Amino acid sequence: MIDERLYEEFRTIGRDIFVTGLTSSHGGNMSVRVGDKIIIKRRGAQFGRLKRSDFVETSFEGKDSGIVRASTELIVHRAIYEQTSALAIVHAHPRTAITLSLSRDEIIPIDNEGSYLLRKIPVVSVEMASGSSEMATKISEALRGYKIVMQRGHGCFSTGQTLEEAYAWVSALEEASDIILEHKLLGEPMIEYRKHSDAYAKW
Amino acid sequence: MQGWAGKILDIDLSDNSIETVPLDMEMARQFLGGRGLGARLLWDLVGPEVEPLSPENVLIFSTGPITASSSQTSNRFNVSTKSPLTDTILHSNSGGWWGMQFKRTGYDALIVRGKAETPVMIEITADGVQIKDAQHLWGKSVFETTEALGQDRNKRNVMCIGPAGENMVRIAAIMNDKERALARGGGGAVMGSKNLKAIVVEGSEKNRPEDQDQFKFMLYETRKLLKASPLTSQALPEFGTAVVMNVVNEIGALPTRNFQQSQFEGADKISGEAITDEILVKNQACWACPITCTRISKTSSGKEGEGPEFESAWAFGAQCGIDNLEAITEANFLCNDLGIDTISMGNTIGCAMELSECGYIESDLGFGQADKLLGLIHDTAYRQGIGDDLAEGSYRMAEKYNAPELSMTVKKLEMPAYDPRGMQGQGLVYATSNRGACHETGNMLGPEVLALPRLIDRFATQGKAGIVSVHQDSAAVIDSLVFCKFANMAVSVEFFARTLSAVTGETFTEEDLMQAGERIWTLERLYNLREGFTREDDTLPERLLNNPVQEGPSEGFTANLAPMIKEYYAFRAWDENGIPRPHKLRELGLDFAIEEAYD
Amino acid sequence: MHASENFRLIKFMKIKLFGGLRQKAGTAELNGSGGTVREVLQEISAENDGLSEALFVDGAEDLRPHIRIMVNGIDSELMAGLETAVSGDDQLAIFPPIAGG
Repeated sequence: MIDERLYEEFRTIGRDIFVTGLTSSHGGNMSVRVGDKIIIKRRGAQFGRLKRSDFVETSFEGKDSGIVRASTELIVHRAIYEQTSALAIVHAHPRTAITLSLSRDEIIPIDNEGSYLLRKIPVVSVEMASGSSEMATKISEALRGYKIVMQRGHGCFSTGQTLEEAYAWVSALEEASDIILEHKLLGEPMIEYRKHSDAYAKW
Repeated sequence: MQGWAGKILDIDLSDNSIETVPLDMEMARQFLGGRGLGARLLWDLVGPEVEPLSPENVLIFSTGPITASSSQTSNRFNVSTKSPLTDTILHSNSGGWWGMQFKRTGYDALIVRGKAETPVMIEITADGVQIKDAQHLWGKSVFETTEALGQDRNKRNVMCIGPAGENMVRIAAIMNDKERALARGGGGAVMGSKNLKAIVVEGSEKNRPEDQDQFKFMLYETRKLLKASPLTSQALPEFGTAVVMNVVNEIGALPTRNFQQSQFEGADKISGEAITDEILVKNQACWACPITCTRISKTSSGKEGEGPEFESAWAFGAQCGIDNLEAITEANFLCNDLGIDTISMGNTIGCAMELSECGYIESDLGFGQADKLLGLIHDTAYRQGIGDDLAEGSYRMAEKYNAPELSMTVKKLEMPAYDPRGMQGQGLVYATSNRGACHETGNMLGPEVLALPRLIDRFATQGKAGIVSVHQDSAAVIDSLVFCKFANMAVSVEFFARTLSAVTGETFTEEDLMQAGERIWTLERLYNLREGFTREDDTLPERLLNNPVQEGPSEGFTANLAPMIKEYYAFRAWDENGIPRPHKLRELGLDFAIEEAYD
Repeated sequence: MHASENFRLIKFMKIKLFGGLRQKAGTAELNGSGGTVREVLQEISAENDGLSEALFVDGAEDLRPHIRIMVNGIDSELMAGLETAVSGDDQLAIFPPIAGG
């Protein structure tokens, strides 16, 4: 079901995500797609201390026993796998990114790394913010055009060929968000150093 | 034109008819162009009853919406046909200038049907489209023909076959711009069977992007990323593709002496480093490409030309137990001049060497005989002596001599330079590739060896299916737009989507493209199923499935294919016989194929 | 006298360099003693500025991205990375950023 290698990957990345403050103790979730199955962190498991028993395997149709223990947001993960070529999904709660999402429709990095890697992160608004089909549709739709998207006030969803890739997008997002926030706190006018920088908003 | 030209040129050599038909724009959006468009058209035009070397087969030369737009690497193009080597669908891809120039004549694709009574050539210039007599060119080599027809860098470009194509050698290539090749699968033989010697193009139209600002931004960002990646800015321009010879050898995945071993003691002597040290004159780029990976080499006998690439150096090198770089380089030059696929040629010679050493063939041919290469290649092109057997490809040759298990092929296409026992995912790629054992349709070199984008365990089997599928789909996208896969080392499909959007003025997301890639891949699969291929054909040679590697880092491993195939079929929503399920076909908009798919 | 001083004279681990590293280091092959992969890299870079610059970012701490290190043909990333223990019987191969087809 879940082999040694995959478990190690989940465990170490889960730990990194928690330790770097990208989620609270039990929040967020991760999944991978293997064959025609989804392997997802179970409901109530600690991100930073994942055990082998914290994973659930479930099918795409989802009419198996797996869904009972799976994360509440399984429906979103499933929609993302159906709508995109993602092989791994990370959903985290990066604080600064969430703060920024409350007052804008897109997060546009101003630092070099952020511009280079992300260019623009769209913010999607969902009324029923946890595990609804509206959320599944809107998030999966947005991920057709971007590697990482924000759900206003809730957190980010990112995709990748591996968990590490999906995690890397989250890490980059939060770094870029921290810099945006700190720049605002500093209150000094920005000296634009990037060519074509106005184009990032249209990415 | 913006993106697609909107026109297809349709020529029937049997009655010299020349027609222009409109490109179905809905088809274009679904299948993009290049390989995808070629597959879609071939589905309609060439069914299972058609013999590949008969007049009923067609050749479809196709470009994509970004071709000739001047976006980085927008020079490549595709040919689609039914292969006389494998009997599968064939798509083959080449760079240089011809594709760009053909697009400039104002067409997205050229369909060539039928057969001319005597040798002809097609010329497309400002004077229109003409079918001209080419009897005086028949028999001439590729280099001679290209020069005779006035090849002129980016003004006038020549595509032609050499003696190999004329003699319907099953591993014959179609050459363009002198030394670029639509190499694999025997497209050259199909062209020869039609008595078509050459196609010359001189265009003047421009592919002007619809959204100029966005296009300029994409050019800038792409240039930035190509420069920032050491792969595209240093490794490839400096050492060319053969720089991976040593790393593939070091990990124990370099097939040696017809896949008997997976490490070659002479690897360093035929590597990119050796080429740069000993024979490199300079590097060269295709049209609109900053990567500049082409080698121009010169041997001590004074012969100069393009190459050798990694695969060619391996095919005449490790595969044949030869470590003489100059002999390998001249073998490569000769294949280009006679118009033969170097991978298939080298692999087949290696097979012949083993057949001979094992006594199946009465010959003194054996591994390591560098001095025999040129003669064997020449004889293959002219079907003389043992060359007549080599001309049939490794499978038919080995079968003739009662040892088909010594043919290192899948679906009769000769296997390239990676031993699946040292790279499990690559084994899955070879086994499931729609045109036979091919590394270009989803190369696992990146993930399993070079850590691109990230390293995965090359010995693992679980989870490989997903990565292979995604790589196969993205390769199909790249082959259809048509970009170069080396650009993809620095720039993602997300970028290609935005460039495409800027050129056409229509919005395409990354996932729209990935879905198109899946659609193209699945249609190719259906084509082969319609031809009669089954899951039994998604396999690897016995040697790789059952004989473990004897020494080196991959010691003890065989290709553990069965669990990977199972996971692969499940991942792609195919049933246990490898047949795509109906809901998947509907999801991909392949409804038109449903009836025939389940016959 | 320290035991380590004795061992420094005995270097029998083979380290092969590839691609552009050869020119930068001025050689295609080096010898090293043991320890971890990191220690071996620092050891061979200590007296070789060209190699040091090619392998490390600003000083000897961070390996440049895309540098791949094989230990007996297995990528060190699949083992313990730079902390992988290696000894005289092992063979290291160091590759700069490379790409191919």
